[in-house]
Amino acid sequence: MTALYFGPSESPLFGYLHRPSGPVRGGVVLCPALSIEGRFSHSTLVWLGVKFAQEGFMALRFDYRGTGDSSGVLLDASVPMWIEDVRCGIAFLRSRLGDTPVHGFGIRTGANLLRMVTAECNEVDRVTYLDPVEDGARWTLTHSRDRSEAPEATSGFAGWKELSERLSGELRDIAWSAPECKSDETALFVSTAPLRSEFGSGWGAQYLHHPGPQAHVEIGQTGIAAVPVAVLREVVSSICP
Amino acid sequence: MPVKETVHNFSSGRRLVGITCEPSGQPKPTTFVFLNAGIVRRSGPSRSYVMLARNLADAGYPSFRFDLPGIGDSGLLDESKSIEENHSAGISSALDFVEGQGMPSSVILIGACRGASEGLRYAPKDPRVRGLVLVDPPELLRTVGWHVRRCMLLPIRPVVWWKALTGKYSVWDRVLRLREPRRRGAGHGTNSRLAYRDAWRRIAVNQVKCLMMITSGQKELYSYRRQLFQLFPGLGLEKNVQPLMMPAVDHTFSTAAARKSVLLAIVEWREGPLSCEPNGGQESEAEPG
Repeated sequence: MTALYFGPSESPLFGYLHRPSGPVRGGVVLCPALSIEGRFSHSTLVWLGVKFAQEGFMALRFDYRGTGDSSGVLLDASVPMWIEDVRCGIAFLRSRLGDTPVHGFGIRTGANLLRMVTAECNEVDRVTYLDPVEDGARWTLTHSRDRSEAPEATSGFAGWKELSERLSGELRDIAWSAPECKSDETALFVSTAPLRSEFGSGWGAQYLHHPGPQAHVEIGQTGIAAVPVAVLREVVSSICP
Repeated sequence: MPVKETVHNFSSGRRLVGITCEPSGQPKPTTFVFLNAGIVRRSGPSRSYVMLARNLADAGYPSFRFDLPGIGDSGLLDESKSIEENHSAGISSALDFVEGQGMPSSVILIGACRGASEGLRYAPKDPRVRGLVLVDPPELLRTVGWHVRRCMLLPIRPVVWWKALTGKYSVWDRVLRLREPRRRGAGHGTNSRLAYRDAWRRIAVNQVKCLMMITSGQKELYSYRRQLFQLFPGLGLEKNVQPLMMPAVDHTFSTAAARKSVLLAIVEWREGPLSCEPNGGQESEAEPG
């Protein structure tokens, strides 16, 4: 396992590469969730990275620009920038793996960002979305309500106190765009929470409702969330059949 | 990026992950090493460690932020040992690494919340640690002065009047509660108090200079500047510890203004009379790292 910086030299992204010990069967880009959900689901991404490496896949975890250890500040960040970061991760793995297939996994807002990449052009072979955000406006509102950490802050979410009005607006506009899958796309959509009926159907992907613990939701006030191992096994087997 | 950040896998088996953040020019002769705030990754709560590390680099100070064993991206160093032993070994490895990288080996540990506790425990054991910056250490214990201040503030708290007027405020219950074993928050109880006193005693004996910042997040537990000195009188902490009340700064110094205040306080302390250097750090500033 190697921690590294990749991407544009003037604004590098922090990444963590889980390498398999044997021959490499492929690569997986793991797109993290944003805001406090990213903190809670971090251990889920670590679990997946380790598991994918055991299955012979090189897995890349990374931080979007303006978040975590990547360059930049949140005030300058934008959704198009983060979409570019997902592309950057895919390109990084492709540059390492050559013709070997590269797959994608996204959780919560990470799933939305990954979907925005795959909707434009099919840059990954198989893709799995776990609990994408249905409605950015509602998601924004939910996180804005939790102000316990810094009630005096004038704007921001739980875990994010400073973000631009532009970014707030872009996050509010996030919606699960579910155009029909392209003929060559193999997608799995996993939901651990009940969905509005029209949300999980009619877009051609394999849909799996798997009630259980959610990787992005804190357990009590412990600061940690569960790692939903049963769901993650489904995720791994969908990408490493 | 105006500062240079490099990511490293280090320690035995390269199990620990950390990032050096260095100024573009000549570094000042002190390295700041960040300790995880509880189970939060090395980027810190609200990314505060990242931003503070970059601000410190802008001010000329190199830093190293890393994940302690078992936290974030770092694995345990020895699974047969306790978390405390792993963490102690992790900090030692980080300091070895800092030295090995040619960064200034005079180190100041920075820790917020649980990170402050880690720093307090570790600092006296390692002569390379010349100073400590503690942000809201969670073990702060209440003193008579704390209770007096709290009682004095009661009449100006609207919630107290509301409870009194609606009959929900029971003075007798509160008096009885004072007699119960203390379970409110970490660090309470006789053993914890003794261990905490011992940690501070070692800080005094080893003359580790310490800046203790109390933000708005901890004002409930630490309400006046000299509370620590009154808690442990006779240790001579006044010579080494500078408590600083920062009511305008939130617990995770999450705004630019809060970070600026924290940075200014650290730099002023580092370069002032309570600095880690015997002469206030002025002379050693001229020496290259």
